[in-house]
Amino acid sequence: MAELVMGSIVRKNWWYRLRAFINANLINLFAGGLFALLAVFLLYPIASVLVFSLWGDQGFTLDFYAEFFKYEFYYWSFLNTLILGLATMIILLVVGFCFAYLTTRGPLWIRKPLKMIALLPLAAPPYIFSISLITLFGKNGMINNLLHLNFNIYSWTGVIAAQVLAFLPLSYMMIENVLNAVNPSLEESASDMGASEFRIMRSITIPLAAPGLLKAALLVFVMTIAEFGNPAILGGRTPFLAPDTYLMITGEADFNMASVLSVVLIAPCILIFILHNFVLAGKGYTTIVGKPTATELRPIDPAIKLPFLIVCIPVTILVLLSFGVIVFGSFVKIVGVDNTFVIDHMLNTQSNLAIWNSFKVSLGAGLFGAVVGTLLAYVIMRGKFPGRHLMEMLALSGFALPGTVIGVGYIIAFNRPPFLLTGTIWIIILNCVFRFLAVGVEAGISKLHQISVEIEEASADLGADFLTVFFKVILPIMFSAFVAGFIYTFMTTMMSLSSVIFLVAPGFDLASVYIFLTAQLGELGVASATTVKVIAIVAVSMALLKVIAKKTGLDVQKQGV
Amino acid sequence: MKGRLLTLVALAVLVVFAAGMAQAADSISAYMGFSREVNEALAKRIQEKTGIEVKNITLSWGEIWARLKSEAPRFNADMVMSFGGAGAIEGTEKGYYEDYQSPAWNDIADAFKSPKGTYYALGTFSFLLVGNKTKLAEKGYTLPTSWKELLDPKWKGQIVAPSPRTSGTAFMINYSFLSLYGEKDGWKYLEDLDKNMAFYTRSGNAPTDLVGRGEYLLGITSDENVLKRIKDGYPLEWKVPAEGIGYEGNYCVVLKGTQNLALCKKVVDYLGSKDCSEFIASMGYIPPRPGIASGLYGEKPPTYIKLDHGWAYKNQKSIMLNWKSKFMMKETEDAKKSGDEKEKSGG
Repeated sequence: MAELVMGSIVRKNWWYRLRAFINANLINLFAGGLFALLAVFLLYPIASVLVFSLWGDQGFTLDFYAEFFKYEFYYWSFLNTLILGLATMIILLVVGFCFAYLTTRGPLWIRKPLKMIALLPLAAPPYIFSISLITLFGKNGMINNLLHLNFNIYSWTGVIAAQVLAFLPLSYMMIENVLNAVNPSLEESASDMGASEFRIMRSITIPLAAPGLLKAALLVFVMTIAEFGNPAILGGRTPFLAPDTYLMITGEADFNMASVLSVVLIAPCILIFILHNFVLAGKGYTTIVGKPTATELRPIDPAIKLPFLIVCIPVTILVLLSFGVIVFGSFVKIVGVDNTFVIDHMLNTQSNLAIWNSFKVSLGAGLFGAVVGTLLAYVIMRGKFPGRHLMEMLALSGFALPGTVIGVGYIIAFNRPPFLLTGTIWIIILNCVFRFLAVGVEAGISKLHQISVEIEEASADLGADFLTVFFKVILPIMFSAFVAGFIYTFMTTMMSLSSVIFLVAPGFDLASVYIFLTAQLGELGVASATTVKVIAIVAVSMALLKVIAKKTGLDVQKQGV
Repeated sequence: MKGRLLTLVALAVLVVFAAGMAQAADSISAYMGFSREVNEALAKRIQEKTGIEVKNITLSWGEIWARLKSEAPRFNADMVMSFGGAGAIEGTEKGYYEDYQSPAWNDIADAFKSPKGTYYALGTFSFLLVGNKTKLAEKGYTLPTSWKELLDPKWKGQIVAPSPRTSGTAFMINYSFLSLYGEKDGWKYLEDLDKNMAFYTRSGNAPTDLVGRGEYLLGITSDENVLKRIKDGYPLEWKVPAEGIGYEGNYCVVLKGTQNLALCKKVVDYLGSKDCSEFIASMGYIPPRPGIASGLYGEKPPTYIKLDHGWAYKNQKSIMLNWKSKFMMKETEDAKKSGDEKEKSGG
């Protein structure tokens, strides 16, 4: 009996000591581990690429940079990329805001359908919009033929339209999250005191949402300039940096020039990042302290509803048409040439295998990515160690860098000991995890931005130790960010192409690579059919997640996913 | 509650991964550079005839070469089936490939194999002029019969061709014209042709589909998919213009360091067989074994432009740079000056 008590005391002692140690150092332990992961799976491959931009056959050289400045072609490529990014960013900020405003403050009946439209493009690879736009507006496109237009889709208009459609969900999700976080009682009291809705929007909603809007805009900018599919397919003879980098590698096997172009592409991203931190410095809008109060629905002013709807309706039509054309294309022999019904495209075995592979990879990447992303957000926001900004920059760099570059970086870095990973499924999973960290991290950071540190401090003051605070307060708060990270990583991995295209091994095709391949070869039927199946998987996964969430009592909807 | 959700997802991941562990016995993996349909059909044919499964992935020639370069010396595949002569030769110099004197290839012409048995050509392919029947008829035009006719201003913005940056076919197209007209007039021809060009596509096969779907009237394109697309019902017509067409081998190599050397040798043996030549021919290529009619050209080979492939491979970099500076990028004043000076001091 006595021994038992002694034993339990010793055990308790040991447990207390461990607990105390964890209590004091947990955040630093996490930080150390995460730093190591980031260093190996982001910094190391990127560094390998940087080295390649400066290292020729004869050792260190600046020749490759000299070549960049030698040709006007490269300036144009650079300039076009910036113009494309800015145009897409501005349009998406407006469109995303309209969608998000209507789905958070508009009439109830419109919220769900609009939200679904805004999220729909998430279920398709970005470059599928080039394909549907060609089918609709190409020289022999359905709409061009129907209305006898002579609209040229291989142009700036085409590229921007495709990019806007492809990145609508990203901007919408970010902005909706922000608008949801603005405490409704502020708007309500303004309304009670007689302010017009326009005035409320101008003086309360937008200023409060500004940091979030800025973040959304920057993320969209960074994403669009790194995307290569749409500009590559619709750009015609207009050069853009991302596709040029891709072509430089796939076409000319010129790793050195590709590295130079990537470095040039990274420059504006870093500039923006610094700007972003400077502008946001000291601007933390904490509007939810304690429990948010429920409010009643206010009718939306027609003077606002109408212009917002005018923005949303054409976009809605385009999104629906794009998906319609893809579904149509997967069941007919040759889109636009021979519209007889066939099922062959759907039964293609190699594409079905590829989809199964993609599913496995996405599941792994989603789970791992969500864990890493959530932890990173927490460590960055609440940690007190030097180098947090570096850490955030690193975590977000996965997005900023063109996928092609990370893909090649992975090949160079992980095809030799100590990290021999090429040819395995793990290299693809890790690549996706670290490329798509940004959304999980950003979601977590936004969440923590809104939740004042006082809640944690209050629990600590009441006697809870760090571990208790972590599990009882922080994790529940972060859980929606975790789910957001999981869903986003799962879906983007399902669709991601630009870097995995270098990593897929024979016999291990991925759905996105297969779609791109067949689309590129003009086999729109197989491409469309594969896309339809991918969309179905993503949709089913989302529904499944909602069911699980409901069963376990977690309201995903409310958590801003 | 949330814990249960997590466990559920983790469990799902485990199950999915366990399901993917099963492995086939006799299999090799290959980077394949024919068109996708041909790759998949050839892999199936090899498995039927030899019992060896070929795990394949379809890549363009540029991509295959980029992969070999970045993966060396640890390749993630056992073989390459179909890529360009430039890669075959440069890789041989770099020691990327296994040498294997296959007895099955003994009675095949030397043009289709290297002396040491490092690489073999599974066949040759060419490029063609294609047009959209329906759209041409609508405009009252007919498919040109010579390359010169493409310079007619009436085709402005109506021609598509692949870009040599990414497409092996396009590089072949370019040096075919340089060989046909001589270097100076060849570049002049390409420059004049550029005035009618809508844009340059990434894949050598893409113009076939763009023209087939009626996006553009004319295309200069790889012959690989033309037969298939016509059978599929695209309103395509094709022609070997009077001046002739170029050609290039579809080379195959065994990558050094493979764990499946014995299986690879068996596959190489099969690739030299009559059965394989017949298959390749039925897809529209010119097979290595004589006397087998190509599905596209028939018994009689088409008119070829006389080509010096060795010269083209050796000068690939400068041809590419010249093409880029003419059709893609303008040099800045400085570069022009330094280029002129180089020319002066060189000449």
